[in-house]
Amino acid sequence: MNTKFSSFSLNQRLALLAGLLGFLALVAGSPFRNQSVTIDLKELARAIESENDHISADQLAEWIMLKSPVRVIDLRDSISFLTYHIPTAECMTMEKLLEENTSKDGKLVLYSEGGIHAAQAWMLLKAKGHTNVYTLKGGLTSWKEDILFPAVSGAASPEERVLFARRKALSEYFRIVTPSLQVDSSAVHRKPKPPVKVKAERERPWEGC
Amino acid sequence: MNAPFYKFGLFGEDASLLVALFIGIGFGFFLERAGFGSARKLAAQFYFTDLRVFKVMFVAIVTAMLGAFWLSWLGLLDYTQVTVPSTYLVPQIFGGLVFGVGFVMGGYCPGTCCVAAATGRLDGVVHLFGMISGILIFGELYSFIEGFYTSTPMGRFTLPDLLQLPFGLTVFLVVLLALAGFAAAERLEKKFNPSGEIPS
Repeated sequence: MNTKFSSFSLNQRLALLAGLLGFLALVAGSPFRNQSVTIDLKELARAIESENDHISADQLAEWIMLKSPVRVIDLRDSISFLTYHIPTAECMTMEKLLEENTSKDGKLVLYSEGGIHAAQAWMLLKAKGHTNVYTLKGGLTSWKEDILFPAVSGAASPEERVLFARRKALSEYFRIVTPSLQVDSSAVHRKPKPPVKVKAERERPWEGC
Repeated sequence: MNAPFYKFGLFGEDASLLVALFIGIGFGFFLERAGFGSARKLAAQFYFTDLRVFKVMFVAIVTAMLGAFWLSWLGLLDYTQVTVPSTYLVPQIFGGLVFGVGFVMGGYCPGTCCVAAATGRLDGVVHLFGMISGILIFGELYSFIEGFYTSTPMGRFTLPDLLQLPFGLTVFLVVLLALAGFAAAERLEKKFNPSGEIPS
């Protein structure tokens, strides 16, 4: 073997080296190291149009209740996170989220206060190749309005009343799992009221039931 | 340390011109050493008697490609920052044809005519004069041909984009193509120039 190799001309040895480096390139994987990604714009547009990019607060609440394998990511700052966060949520900055090298198929739900920040992170994670990532529609505001403090009007349709009953059950559950629940009602945005009326506000959702 | 150095601010615009000058001199030197200062040698490839242009150019492509791939893989080069001229398909096909016709007629391409002129070859000087005239005419006519010049834009378009293949696989296929090309070139040379006589 050695004798055979030494009988090769310089050109043949260089050709062999190029062939070897080419073959190794085949198995080496992408050289980009997360610096650049290719995104399927049509697929993203389809996901957004068909509303497969987000889930409702009800859906997330059910997943958490049923202990479905889902990671909930809170993209707000740590002070807001400590004040209140959705049970099981992890506080994470967008940069840290992108640096994570977890499975790209794992179910992820992103939320921020309103939803813009989460939608931006959703786009980045989709570009990174995550397939099972969602934003919480309406963000934490919607979670508070729909799950923590559900309300129904007196003129609600039967369907709305069924939904309300379900939300009420969810609300009770989430108040139990987070007994230290301290929600700043100003974030609920149901009715802009001065902070002194927070407690009264909390009791109101049960009205009309 | 990360490349491209200029993009990462390792040196400024003035220094980059100096770097370009040294690279240009190096490029010219190796073209001359490969024998590309002779129009006869360059034209010989069209008659399959001496395919060194094909071989040298393909070696350069494969070397640069493998270098770019592996340096990116090692994290020393940010490939996304490497300048890739934008593709304008139809005007560039047309430009390629003009280039090819000029190459066959004059015996030089833009780089090699500079090498020939620098080594004192009169045909190289004439070719260089023709090239500079062409640049001037192109510049003057640009406003008339701008529409065509910028038609069919495809942006940064590379082989992996065209073939929709992973980068590594494309690299491997190009290497295979080059190796097969070198073997075929040697055979063609033996067939069309069995004596191995090199035109000077």
